Amino acid sequence: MVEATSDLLPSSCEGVDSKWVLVTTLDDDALLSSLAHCSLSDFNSIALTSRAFRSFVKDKALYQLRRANGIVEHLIFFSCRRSEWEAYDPNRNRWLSVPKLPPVNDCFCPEKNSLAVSTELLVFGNAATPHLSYKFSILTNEWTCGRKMNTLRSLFGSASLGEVAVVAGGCDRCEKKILSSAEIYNSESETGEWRVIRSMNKARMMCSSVFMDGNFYVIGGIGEGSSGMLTCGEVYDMKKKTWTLIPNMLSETSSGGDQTKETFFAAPPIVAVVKDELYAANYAQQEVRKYDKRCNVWNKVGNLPERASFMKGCGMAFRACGDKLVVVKGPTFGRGLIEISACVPREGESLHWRVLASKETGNCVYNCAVMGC
Amino acid sequence: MENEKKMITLKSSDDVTFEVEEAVVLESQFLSHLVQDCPAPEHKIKEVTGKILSKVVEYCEKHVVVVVDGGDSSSSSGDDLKKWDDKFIKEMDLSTVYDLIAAANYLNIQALLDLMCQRVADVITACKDHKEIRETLGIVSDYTAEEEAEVLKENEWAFD
Repeated sequence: MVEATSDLLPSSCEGVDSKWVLVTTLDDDALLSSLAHCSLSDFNSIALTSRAFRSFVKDKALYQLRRANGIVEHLIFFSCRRSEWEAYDPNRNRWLSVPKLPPVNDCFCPEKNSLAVSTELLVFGNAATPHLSYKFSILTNEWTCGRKMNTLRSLFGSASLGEVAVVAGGCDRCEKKILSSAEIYNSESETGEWRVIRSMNKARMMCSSVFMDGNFYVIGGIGEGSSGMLTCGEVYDMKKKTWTLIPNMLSETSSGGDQTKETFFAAPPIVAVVKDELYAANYAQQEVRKYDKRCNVWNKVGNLPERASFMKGCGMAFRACGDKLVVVKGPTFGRGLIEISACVPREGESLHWRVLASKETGNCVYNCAVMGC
Repeated sequence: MENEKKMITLKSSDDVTFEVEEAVVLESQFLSHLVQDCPAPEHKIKEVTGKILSKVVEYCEKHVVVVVDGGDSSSSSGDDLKKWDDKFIKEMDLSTVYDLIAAANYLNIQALLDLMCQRVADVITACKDHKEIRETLGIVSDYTAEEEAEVLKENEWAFD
């Protein structure tokens, strides 16, 4: 077999063996469309072929096109140590190593809340360092400083959809004031800045957030002036740019006699959205419930994977990953494995969990975010 | 009226003619506008050769919504169509794929364009490394050795 070199290659495709046909006879749009259909795991090899192909796979236009065509692959990012992240690619069943956070940030303590937006992973500073945030880009393989939010906050709710992320509520560092303000981020904007949007109806911290049906939901959390948990949710209509309160989202609206419901939700509630359906987990009760949007009630759909951590949320993450629910579970007592389980929720069927992968680790899962791009 | 199928003749750049039902032509945005704006019985498509146009016609005839006798409207079921698509692209050489991409682009047949781009992607995915992609697609590397090492490093995180 002769190695391909430039002088062996014909300058035009006429009358030559098809294996020499130049892909570059395609125009840029067709090339980009073809690359959009490739797997994320091919992008490294593609970037290595030539300068032009490298710029294609490093261009946000490629990811915009994938989104427009409904092509998406997921990467599960998780962190077991403060400045160390790694990722798992369920599509190719492989572990990916992520560079360490820059060492200048010894004082940086991450919020348990992290966010993947398009090709970026955003890691926020916690109450001690709310002015710091970092973003990792899979295009550059680098960590850079993220832009500050307009209001420094911790313990807020956050969620992303495509290239857009929204954060809401949380608490202010200095005054320990609970916030109702919210901000939006677009990973494809030039400036990468956070923009203030309308505030929620209620101030809340330790609330959970998800995107469902294209809109941003905030669920539960701890409100102002009361030590108790809020049972209402709110939805932000991304088109109308308005908030609507959803009363009694986490409480019994009728006397159903379901005593476990009041204690099912923690602050923050542990939630995930798959195919525009909302699921909640309770680690202590090992249970998963599905939200009925029309009736505003939660119905049990199954259990968490067996032997899920008894440590009440420490060492465990419950997330959506495409059409699957995933649980990333750190080592339980005496076992040094991190384990990723997944199930595809189906109407009328109990959840059937399957272990995707497991790996040796020393620590529990501190942080987890699923990237889709 | 409904029983009468309107036929249209398409003529390729090298004067190969294809007689097709109007419904088939409507799969192409470009041709639908053409037949609406200019109701001639024959249309010359100067940009597409007979070889490629025959493939386009074959694809569109398969994908058109078939009106069966008796008034039932049905198209081939999704699974069947998928199987047919797989077979359609399976043995196609890349040169034909590229020509079909250009034709689908020109005639504005989005589904055919997507199918052909998927075929190029499948070819790339089947390659074991960047060298094989270069060889298969005829890409000439313009990297210096240092640059190539740099790009390798940039993507290092993805190899574990």
